[in-house]
Amino acid sequence: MRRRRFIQSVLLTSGGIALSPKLILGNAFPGIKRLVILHTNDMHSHIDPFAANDPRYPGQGGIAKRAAMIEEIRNEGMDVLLFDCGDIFQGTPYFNYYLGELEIKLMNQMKYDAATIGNHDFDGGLENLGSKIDMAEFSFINCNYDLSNSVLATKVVPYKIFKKSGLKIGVLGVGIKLEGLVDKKLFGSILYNDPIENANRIAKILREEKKCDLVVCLSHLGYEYKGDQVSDLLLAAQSSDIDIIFGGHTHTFLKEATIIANKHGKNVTVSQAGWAGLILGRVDVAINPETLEVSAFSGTNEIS
Amino acid sequence: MKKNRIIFFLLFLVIACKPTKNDLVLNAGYRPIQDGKEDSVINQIIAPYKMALDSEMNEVIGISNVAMEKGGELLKFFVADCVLEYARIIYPETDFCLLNNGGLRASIPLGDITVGNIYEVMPFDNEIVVVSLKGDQLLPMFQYIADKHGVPIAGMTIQIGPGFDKEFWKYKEPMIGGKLFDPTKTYKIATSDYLANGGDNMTFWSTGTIETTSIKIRDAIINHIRLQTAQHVKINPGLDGRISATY
Repeated sequence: MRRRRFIQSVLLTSGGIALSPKLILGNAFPGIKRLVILHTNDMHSHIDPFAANDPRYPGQGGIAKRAAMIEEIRNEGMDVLLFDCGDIFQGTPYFNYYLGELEIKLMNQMKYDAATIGNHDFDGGLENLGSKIDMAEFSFINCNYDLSNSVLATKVVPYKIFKKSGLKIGVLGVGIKLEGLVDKKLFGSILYNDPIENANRIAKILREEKKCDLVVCLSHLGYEYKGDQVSDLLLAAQSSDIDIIFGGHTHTFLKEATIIANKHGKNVTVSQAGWAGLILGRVDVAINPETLEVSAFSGTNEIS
Repeated sequence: MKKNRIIFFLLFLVIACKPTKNDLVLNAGYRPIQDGKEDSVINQIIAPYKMALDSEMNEVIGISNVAMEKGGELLKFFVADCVLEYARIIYPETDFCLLNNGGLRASIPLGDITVGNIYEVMPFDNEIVVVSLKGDQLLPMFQYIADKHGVPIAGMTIQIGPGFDKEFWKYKEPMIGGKLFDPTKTYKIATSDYLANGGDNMTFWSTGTIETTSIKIRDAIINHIRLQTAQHVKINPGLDGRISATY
């Protein structure tokens, strides 16, 4: 019950954003570069909306509506990047019968730019995941799984650089520990390496060597845990060079993105968009090309 | 950085009063996907897949008198009951059933239950197994139940709750088949193959021996509902206090 109320309050808040005074930056600052980043996670094969008689989410979600919303945002005229943070697969009969084929086709149609791998994306086995990555017209990104002895070795990249709005955006990905979570026979020879260490290593390459203006991490680690299990909030606090972390796994609904100070006291934005395609997350980025200062905006938050 | 924030704020004040054509509007947040129009191309791509599935998935297999919400005890215990029932068809001496919370992925609605509903509740193809485990090996299992503030169980009862330390829940009086748990006895426990192999960090199975049933958990639920319906019985789960959080 408490959770349902929370979701209602999230919906209200998000609805309120459109009505609340928007933060407006005028052409008095003409050099500022703008970018919209949209994100989803844990869609779990939810292609159709939830049934009208669903006790929790009656009639909500559905990819056809999400696609229309994404198109509407693209038509606003700003450059858009669209990311998914894993667990694309498993959750409805669409996956049991078609093993992720339809999910990938629809993501191609929506022009996803990149995704990271979630634990349930292994549910059809490694060969199946590989064949679906082959179908995808977007990149699968992960830097902390050692895939070298698997069929995924050549199919997953540790990072990818996008050029949008005259900016270089470096994107890296991290995944959750598979042992104890995914049946060994499904993930086979894949080895899990420390996500924080590897995210920092790749972020440094993207920032210093590749001269990226913005460094984004797609994560399937989970937003936060009680114990010391690595999470997006822990990663943010122990990171350097990462500006934004988009997350998944814990199916977390947030009122607004969380701001965490990194190792050097710089702000990192951490966002996650619930699950099952019930909501679409959006972070707006503004970069001052003179100071290279990044500002990420989520909801009513402004950070720099 | 602070200076930059002040500049932004000043800009905001100046510009907000006098918007111009080239304004950059920041409009981020989380948007509910609920109303609004649908993308017709997307629907065209989905259509052939959906048609093939719907004939099978839309079949009504029974009627529920109550809504069983994802995360709620009604659903957890209903599924655990189904698993114990079908484990006992193969291994009648099965003592009790234990599953995990994460395995139940959707709600069962009030009223008509379709095959598709059950696929969403249990999308995994996990099969029922029966694990034989020495009683003293069950102690970490009981603690797991307390740590998770309750999981799906059937054929047993347990009391759990926070001790002096609210973060750390404890358990007491585990009863199996109506009798106080006996650490010297060997118990047969129905669970899923995924969990018996250590899934969801259930490390306590490691000394047990696993016997398979080749029955998928999803099929156990579907068949249970079908058989009730064949006998003109509605699905009517209730709470029997098998987990009481009154520790």
